[in-house]
Amino acid sequence: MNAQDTDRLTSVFRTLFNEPGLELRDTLTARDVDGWDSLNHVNLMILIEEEFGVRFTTGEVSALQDVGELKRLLSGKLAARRAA
Amino acid sequence: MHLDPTFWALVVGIGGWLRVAPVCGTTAFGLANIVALALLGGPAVAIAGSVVAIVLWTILWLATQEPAGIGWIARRLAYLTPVVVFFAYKAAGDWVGVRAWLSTVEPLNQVHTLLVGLSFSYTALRCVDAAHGVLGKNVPLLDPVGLAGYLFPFHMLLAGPIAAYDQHVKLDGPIEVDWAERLRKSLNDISTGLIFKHVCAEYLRIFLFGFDAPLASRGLIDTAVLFVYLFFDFAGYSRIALGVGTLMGVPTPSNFRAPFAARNITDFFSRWHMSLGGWVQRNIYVPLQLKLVRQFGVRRALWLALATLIVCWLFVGLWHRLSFRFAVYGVTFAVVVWVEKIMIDRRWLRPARAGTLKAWLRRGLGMAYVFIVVTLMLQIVMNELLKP
Repeated sequence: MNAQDTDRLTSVFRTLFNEPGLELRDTLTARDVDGWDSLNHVNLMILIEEEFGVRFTTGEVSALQDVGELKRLLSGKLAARRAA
Repeated sequence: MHLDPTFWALVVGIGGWLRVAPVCGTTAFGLANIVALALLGGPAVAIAGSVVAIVLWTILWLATQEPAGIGWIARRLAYLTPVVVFFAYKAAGDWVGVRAWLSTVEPLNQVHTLLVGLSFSYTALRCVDAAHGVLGKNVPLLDPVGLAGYLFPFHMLLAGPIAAYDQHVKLDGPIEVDWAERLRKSLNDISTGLIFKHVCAEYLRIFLFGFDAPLASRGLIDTAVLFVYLFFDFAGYSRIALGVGTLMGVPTPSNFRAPFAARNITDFFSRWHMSLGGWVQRNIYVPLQLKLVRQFGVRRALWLALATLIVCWLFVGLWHRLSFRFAVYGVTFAVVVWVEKIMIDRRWLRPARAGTLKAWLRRGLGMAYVFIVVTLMLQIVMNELLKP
C-alpha cells in the first residue's frame, strides 16, 4: 500500500474513532482502539469502501484480525481495480 | 459421557490415528468420528449423521459447480434447509401440541429422536457456518466424510462449542509439534473441566436440590445459584471438549472466559458461550448490519444496530427454546446491549484511572450489575430452560 493510500486509510480511522493522533501500525487490533466494537467495525469497513471505491464481502469483514490484514486486503482490491 | 471409558479410549485412539492416517486430517477425523458416534450413540445416530453430511455436501457441491439454474437454487437451499429443519426440530421439542402429534407419526418421530442424538441445535449452526464458509468466504468444500467430522464432532456433541468452519479446515494443514505444551494444556483443560462439571456443579446441585430432585427455581435466590451452577456445568463441559480437542489436534474453540468478571452485559456476552456469540456475529450480525448500513448510511448506523441486535438476540433466545418467554428474554438483552453501547460511546461513565480505589469500586459495581441483571433475566426463563 503506497503512502498516499495509507494516509487516506489513517484519516478514515482518525475520523471514525475521533482520535487525531491514531497511528496505523500493522499489529493494531480492535482491542487497542477505544470504540472499535462490532458496530464500528461495520461502519469502518463501509467508510473505507466509500473512500476507496471498493467492496468487501461479509466473509472479509468478519475475518479481519488486524490493520496489517486490512491493508493487505485493501491493497489487493485496489491493485485488481487498477488492473481492470 | 466423560465417565465412560470408551470415550477416553476413543480420544487417545483418534489422537494417534490422526498422526499416522494416510488421508488428510479432516477426512481422517471424519472417518474416526463416525466410528466414535456409532460406539457412543449407536449405529443409527452415526448413519443419520452421515446422511445429513451427504445431503449438505451435495447441496454445497451443486452450489459451487453451477453459477445459475440449479446452482442458484442450491445456494438458497444451503442456508434455508438447516434453518427450516432447525425450527421444525425445535417446534417438535418445545411445543406440546407438535410433540404430541409427532409421537403418532412414527417415521418422523424416529427422525426427531435421531436429530436429538446428534444435538441438532448445534449441528444446524455448523451447517450454516459451513455454507457461509464455502459460499461466502471461498473456504474449500471438504469431502462428505470430512464434513461429517465438522458437523458432529463427538467430543463437542452434547453442548457445543461451535467451531468455525474455516478453523476446522485448518486440520488439513501442518500439525503443531510442541507435544509437551499441547499435553500440558490439554491435561489442564480436561482436569479443570472435570472439576467444574463433576465437583463444583454437582456440589451446587446437591446443596440446593438434594440428590434426586429435578432442578427448578422457586425464586430469585434459586435462580442466582442456578446461574452459577449453569456456568460450572456448561463451562466444565466446554473446557473438557477444548482439552480433548487440543489432545487430538482437532480445532476446538474456547467457550468461556471468566464471565463473572465482566464489567457490563456486552462484556459478559463476549465471555459467556463465546462460540455462539462468534457464530451470531459471523452469520447474522455482520451480514445484516453491513447490508442495512450500506442501504441507509453510516449516520443511521446506531439505530440500524438496534434492529440488527434485536434480530440477533431474538434468534439467540429462540435457539434456546421456541417460546414467547425466550423471545422476550432475547429482545430485552438486545435493548440492554444497545443502551450500554450508547452509554459507553458517549462516555457517560468516564473510565477511572487504573489502580485507584474508584477503579476498583467501578469494577466491583460493574460485576454486581452484571450478576443482578443476568439473574433477573434468567428468572424469566429458568424453569423453561431446565425442562428436559
